[in-house]
Amino acid sequence: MIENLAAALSLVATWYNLAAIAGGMLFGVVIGAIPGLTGNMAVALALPFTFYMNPITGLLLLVGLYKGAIYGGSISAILIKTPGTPAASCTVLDGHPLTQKGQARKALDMALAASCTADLISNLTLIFCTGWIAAFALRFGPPEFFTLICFSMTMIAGVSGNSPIKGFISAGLGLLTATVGLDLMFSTERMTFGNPDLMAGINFIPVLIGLFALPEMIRGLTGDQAAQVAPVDAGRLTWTEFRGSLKTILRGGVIGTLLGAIPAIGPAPAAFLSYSEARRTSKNGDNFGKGELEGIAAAESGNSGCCGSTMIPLLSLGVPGDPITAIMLGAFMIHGLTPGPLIFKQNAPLVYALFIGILCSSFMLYFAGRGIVRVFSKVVNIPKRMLYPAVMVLCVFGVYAVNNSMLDVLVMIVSGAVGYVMLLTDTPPAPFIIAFILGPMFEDNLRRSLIISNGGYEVFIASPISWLFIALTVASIAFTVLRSVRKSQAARCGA
Amino acid sequence: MSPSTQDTVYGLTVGIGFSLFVFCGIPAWVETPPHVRIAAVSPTFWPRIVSIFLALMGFLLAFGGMRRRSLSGLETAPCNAESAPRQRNITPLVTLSVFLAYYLLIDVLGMVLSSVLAMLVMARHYGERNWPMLAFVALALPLTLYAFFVWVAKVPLPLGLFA
Repeated sequence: MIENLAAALSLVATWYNLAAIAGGMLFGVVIGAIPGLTGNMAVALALPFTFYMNPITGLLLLVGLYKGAIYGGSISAILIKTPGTPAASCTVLDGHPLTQKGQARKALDMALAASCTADLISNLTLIFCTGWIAAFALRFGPPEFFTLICFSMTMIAGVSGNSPIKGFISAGLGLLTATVGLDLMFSTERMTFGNPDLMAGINFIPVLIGLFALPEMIRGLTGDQAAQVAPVDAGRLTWTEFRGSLKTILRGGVIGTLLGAIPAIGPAPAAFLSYSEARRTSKNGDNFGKGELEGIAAAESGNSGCCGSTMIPLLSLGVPGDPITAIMLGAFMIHGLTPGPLIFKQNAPLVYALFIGILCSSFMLYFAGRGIVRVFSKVVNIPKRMLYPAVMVLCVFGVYAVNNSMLDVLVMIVSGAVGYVMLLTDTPPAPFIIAFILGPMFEDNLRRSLIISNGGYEVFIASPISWLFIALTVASIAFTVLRSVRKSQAARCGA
Repeated sequence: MSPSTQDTVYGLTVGIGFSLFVFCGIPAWVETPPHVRIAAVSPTFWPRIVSIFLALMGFLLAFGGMRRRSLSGLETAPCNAESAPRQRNITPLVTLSVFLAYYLLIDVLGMVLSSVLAMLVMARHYGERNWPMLAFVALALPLTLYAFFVWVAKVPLPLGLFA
């Protein structure tokens, strides 16, 4: 063990390894902050460069890029209401209202602090609990996934604002939009209208950008608004504010870590689940969505909590949990390494070196983020009459780059129009996004479970994990109903 | 339009629209394989469930709106989104038209030139009057983005006439 650690330290403690993490992070943050460009793209772009590097340097570069991109998505979400990555879609809910209140710097600082803390939790879990978490994740079959997604769906009520019915309509529209494309089981067409470009379904990123970024541009600016820049910045995040959100950050980190270890879930649902739990339990729950620092802490800790733990199934089982770890698997294999249980025996120094590098990356993310935040926060000084057209051009470039498809640009514009109607009718867009992300997983796991059980519904209560999530779902619904009854009673008493 | 009337109209539109979708849209636009043994596995099952749910929610919203209307009489308070004074020049329809024109021009003029034009039109439309600054930003931003996407991100962008 000590020998392995010493060998690992000598492997990792070189200036070019540290430079690889720092460089990867800086580039990742910039990529993540550009709407449409995701961590997947950043990691895929950098993969060929890793061919010529030491295995550990190449892997640390990819890790840095991934973490940087996940954090970078929050910058544009907070400053220009355009999530740079899907994982940052939840950050918009409180991030942009804080910018409008003149607290952009505070919001960016909180996003950074929450991301680094949750990332550290995730990395420590990766290092110390890989075996247990991998065993837990392996017990997830379609019925367990289905009950987990049922529980995740309850967060829709938490982001529905004042009208749950409008929130449910928004969620229903998201679920229906997610069904467009070829049916996964029978390969029949669903609402493609004969357009071959729609057979792969509607991409998530154009919908996300269209719903969040475009509606305010479509609404337009009055004379006063056009010249308006965000109010003077209210200063940086204080220790007291950070400490006030620490419980939420720790909870978000744990939620992110657990969901990140389960293949195919990803950081966006983790962010929404963490947000919903924070809203449910926080004494400031009613301020969520109106510019609450704790909301940003919850969203960012949820998505960053996934960063380290997505490596758990990859390293322990050789199973990539998401597209980024699939690319990383490629990087391992190019260097003649095969992830799986044997890697811990055959290449122990390399695995330890990777762990040390990943641990360092949490701290480096903080310093890289602080430097970048200082530059990006100047965006709030641009008048809206110039900022909006610039964001529009940025969105079109970014959305086109996702699939090199003009259809995606059209989808973004149509989503913008739908978002504008939602703005007029006071319908919240967040339930649409949650349902759009979770809908395909929900349907797919429901159908796979029913095929396994030959049409019997008892499959959903066959395992303790399913029971746990069913209990959590019931508790969450009961809590939401109770809370709204109490609220309406309080309103009646007040009147 | 008062909030309760708006909810009624919105709810009825959603309710009637998705009721029609269940009976006409799904059979027409969702292909069903001939032999599906388990009903819940059929490709139409999930869209149908969601559409019925949407129709119910729509009618529920409309019912709530009508109930509030009948309880409180005709409300006079306008809803928040409509309360802003109407603008003379900057209208959502114009902005949407600019977006659509931008989209259509990309194939013809390429990504850079259409972005320059779109940015000029949008910024003018939003009230920017500083021409030198506007011209600089409208040129610099699309060119920088083009350079980044093509040379760094290796994403080929449409060139239109310049292909």
